[in-house]
Amino acid sequence: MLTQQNKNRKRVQKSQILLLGSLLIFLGGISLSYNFIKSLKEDIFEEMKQLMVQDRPSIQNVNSNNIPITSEQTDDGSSNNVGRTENFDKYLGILEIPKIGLKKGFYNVDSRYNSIQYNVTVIQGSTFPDVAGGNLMLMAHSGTAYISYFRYLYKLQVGDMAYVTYGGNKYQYKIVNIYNVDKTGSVTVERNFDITTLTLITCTYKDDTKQTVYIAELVQ
Amino acid sequence: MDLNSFEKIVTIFKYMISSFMNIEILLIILLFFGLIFLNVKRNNLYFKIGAIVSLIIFFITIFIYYSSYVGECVTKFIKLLLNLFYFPPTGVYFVYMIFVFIVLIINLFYKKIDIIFRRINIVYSGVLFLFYSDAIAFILTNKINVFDKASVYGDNILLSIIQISNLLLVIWIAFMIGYILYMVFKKEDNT
Repeated sequence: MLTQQNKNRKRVQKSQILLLGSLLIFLGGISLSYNFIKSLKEDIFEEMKQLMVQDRPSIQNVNSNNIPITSEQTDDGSSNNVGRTENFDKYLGILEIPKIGLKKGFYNVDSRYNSIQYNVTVIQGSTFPDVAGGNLMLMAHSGTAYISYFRYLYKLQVGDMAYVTYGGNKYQYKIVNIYNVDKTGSVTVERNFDITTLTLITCTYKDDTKQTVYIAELVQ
Repeated sequence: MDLNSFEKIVTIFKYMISSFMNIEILLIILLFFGLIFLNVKRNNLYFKIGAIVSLIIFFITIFIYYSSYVGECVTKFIKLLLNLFYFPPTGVYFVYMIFVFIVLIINLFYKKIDIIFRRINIVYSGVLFLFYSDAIAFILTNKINVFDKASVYGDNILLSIIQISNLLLVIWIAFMIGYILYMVFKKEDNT
């Protein structure tokens, strides 16, 4: 009977040892991977911070001002197609800016994916490149988050090229104006109403209080 | 995309026999698990250990061959877990509430749980329900858009409530797992 009691005591200790061992292995794993987990934690905090700081270029109001011709007039306004490229079934259109290596699709304005939290966003009131004298207005985050598709837009200068693929055609635009506006929820787009325009809007590089507007005109 | 269940099964079966490698995989898996199945009655310890070691070697081989991709997947998975902890989507946060509610019900009606452990669970449930009630009250009072993460986590009060309640929940779950494991080990020792 005494032997049985001794056996039971040993058995109880074995279960305690197993539990303690599991706990030590778990704590050891945590301490070894602490720096790695800490760096990932900083990443997600940074992404959330970017999302919060820059999630408010929500533009409720867009005004357009007709301004004098700012670039060399194209001769007869005939077809400005550069050439046909393939259609991306998932997207309504594709924005490309070779200088900064940007190539991103955008959805229809009514699509649930047409949101700055997911994609390059088509602003309400936009018209597509096939509308003469129209204005396609796109916005996206700038910053370091994975949804910051316009993070390198600040590198663009007047004269740089952008391309929009839409409806099986590729439209070439040339940047003619870049200016900053205060981040108020309203943006005034200053463009020539007679020229088909592409407008890109994003938060100003290293300035949380402003947005930068890039005006590009359709070229031959 | 528009396949019914039967068509999906046919597609999978066709893929399984589409190449020599796939047939090989199929035969190895059938053989391996067939042997495990037959060994259940014999209960051979060496066989069990051998089966586990074989599976571990199989996974290690995959990890070595695709180490960069596996590393990336692991990193993204850990990031996802951290996001669920620090910035959970509101739907997930409601799932946490439901989980606490279920644990409370189990504690009230399942009599085999140790009394001290039950009391700890009830105290923890009470504290967490207090946090959840405050979070819901804050959301309703301030008309927070629960579908917009920036709105939910933009406010320090709601952010603090959610993150501290998640911390308490994780500690509680870890404690419960430890307790259950201890009871399992203890039970096996006593038999």
